[in-house]
Amino acid sequence: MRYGWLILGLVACTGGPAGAPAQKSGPPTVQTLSYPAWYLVHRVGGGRVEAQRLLPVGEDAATWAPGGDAVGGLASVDLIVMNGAGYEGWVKTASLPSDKVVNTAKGLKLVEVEGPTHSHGADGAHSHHEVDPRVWTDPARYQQQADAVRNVLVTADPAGKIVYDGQYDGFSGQLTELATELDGALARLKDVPLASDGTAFRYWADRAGRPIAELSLDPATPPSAERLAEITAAMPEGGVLLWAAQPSDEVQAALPSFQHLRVDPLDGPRTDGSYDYIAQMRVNVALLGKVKLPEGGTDAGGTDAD
Amino acid sequence: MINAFFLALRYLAAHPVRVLILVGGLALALGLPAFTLLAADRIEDTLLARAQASPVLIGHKGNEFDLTMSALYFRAKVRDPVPSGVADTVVERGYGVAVPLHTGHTAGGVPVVGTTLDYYEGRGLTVADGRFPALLGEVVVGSVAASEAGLRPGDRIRSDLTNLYNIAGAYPLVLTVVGVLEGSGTPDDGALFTDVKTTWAIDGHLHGHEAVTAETALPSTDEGAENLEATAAIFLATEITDETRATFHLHGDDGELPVSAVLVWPTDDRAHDQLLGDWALEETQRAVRPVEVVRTVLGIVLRVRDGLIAWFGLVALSTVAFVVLVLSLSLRLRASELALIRRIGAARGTVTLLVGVEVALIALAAVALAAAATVGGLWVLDAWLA
Repeated sequence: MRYGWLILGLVACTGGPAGAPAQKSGPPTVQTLSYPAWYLVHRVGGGRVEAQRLLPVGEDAATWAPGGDAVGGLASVDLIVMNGAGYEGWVKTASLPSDKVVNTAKGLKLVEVEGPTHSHGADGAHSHHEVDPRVWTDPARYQQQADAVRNVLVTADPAGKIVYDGQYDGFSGQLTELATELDGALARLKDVPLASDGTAFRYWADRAGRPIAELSLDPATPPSAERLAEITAAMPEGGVLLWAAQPSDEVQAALPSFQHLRVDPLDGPRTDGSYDYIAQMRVNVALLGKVKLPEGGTDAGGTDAD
Repeated sequence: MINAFFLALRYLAAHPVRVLILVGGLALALGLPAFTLLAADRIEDTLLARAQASPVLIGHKGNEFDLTMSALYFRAKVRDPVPSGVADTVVERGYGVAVPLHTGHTAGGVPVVGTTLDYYEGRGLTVADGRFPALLGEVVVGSVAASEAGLRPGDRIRSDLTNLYNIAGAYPLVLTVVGVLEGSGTPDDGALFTDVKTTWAIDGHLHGHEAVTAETALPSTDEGAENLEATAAIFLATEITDETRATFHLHGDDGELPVSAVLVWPTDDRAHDQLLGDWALEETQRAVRPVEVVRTVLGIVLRVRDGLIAWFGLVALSTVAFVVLVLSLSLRLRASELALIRRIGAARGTVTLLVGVEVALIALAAVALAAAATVGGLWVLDAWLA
């Protein structure tokens, strides 16, 4: 019957799934893939969870990609938390353990945008709907992402529920406040034409219920005369131009009809040092509050961020 | 008794050719049906083991055999794929672990299987050297495929051209080996595994190319320079490296991209039954139990086995008749010799004992030879099945 052991060996080798992993006790190890995701875990996890940050400081999550060994190492953590909505671009083509990945933007109502026009096969030219990944710029949506993180942490570490619930309540309160303040600031600007250098403020446009014109401007290089003419023709005077990066004096001088406002896109610190989403968002809202309104408005003076 | 044994032994040794023919014939008559029976059982167990380790397969309605062979043994090509989003649907409904399987591609003749990390856990596969694939373009090699092709982590292998007549379609891609699996004694040992997105890249659904510029685009539309439509002049990446990986993308929802099958490990019996019930209502897809498909195939094999055993039984009967004939002829030829033994004082029973021991020795030798041949044959079969 020695071949019986071989059969048993074959059956063992071709056996079924490992089954659900044994419930681990204690706080989970969490790896986050971007600053917005890290901040969520940092705030909701409190002192109980140490959130690791895979994305180096100063790197852009949309364009940065880790090496194979770093991605392979993600299999050893308990949770992999990401912003989702395509923000962490490299995730689209990476192999991650599906039972550990937490896509905090999943299930949220996201701002849809039109992708680039292309053609493949016999279908001819067309484009696909994509979503804007900067969900965190809307405090209300960010609150829903925080709720997703809270649920995942409680599931992974039921013993820490009281901590996570308490942390979430505090964080959620701050986000609710910020959402109200942001709505107020945007409502105050309802008669002011709004534009942005790029695409960083789509969720603000969604909250305001009005478009923010995307001008595709380089903060370091003044636009060409042709482009300037296009912008002047399209945008009325006295509008506010939101910049995700500090525009040069030259660029500001080339667009004198705008109030230039450098607004932090809240995607994380550019250099080592302290950086806090709530604090930066408050600065952004305060800047919006300082925008000079058209004649007849109650506020006066508008200053740049820096 | 001992004297009869020695006399019989000396007699048999004096007629080696006759003994060898008798032993060989009897061994064949005994060994063939025994080997056929045991080999069929072994094949059945091996096939069933693989099928039992793959509880449910979801594929396009149609050929269940091709679906099972493709998903379990990476042979046969599935004609109609299913969308990869089926795996997500299974998971969302809480039925269990669902793993997409994209088969049909090869690299150096070795099957390339696109799947996810859950497959390795579900199959109990571990890495002997290196690691599992983590990035687009990385593969892990089964132990047998690695030893036959001499592949190690760090090596590169090119996927085989699947369509010679469509050079504007899928290009062969250069893949990077990042690991070698531990031997498992299953068809997994003879395959290359990668992420399902890599197999989509081999398909051409996922592609990488240089940036689209005004020079490589169709004349721009009124929407402006940001929305350029690429032309055939654009260079497609044929190797996924650290430099080109970032350019790889797909247009559209990856849930719509094709896979050959979805392998499901249901959470429990109830989930298993609900899953089968749900997919019984589908129009274009079906959930299949590989065990049933394999048993249907085995039914044919077992009928052949039964036929062979009946045939071998007849052969055994004729062999026994032949042996009896030879023995009786031998006794007739030895009549004077046996008479002499009785005249010199041996009891009647001694002659019977002598002949009986001769027959027993021949039979024992035949049984031993048949057993050795059967064991050897099964060992070869096991090696082949592995």
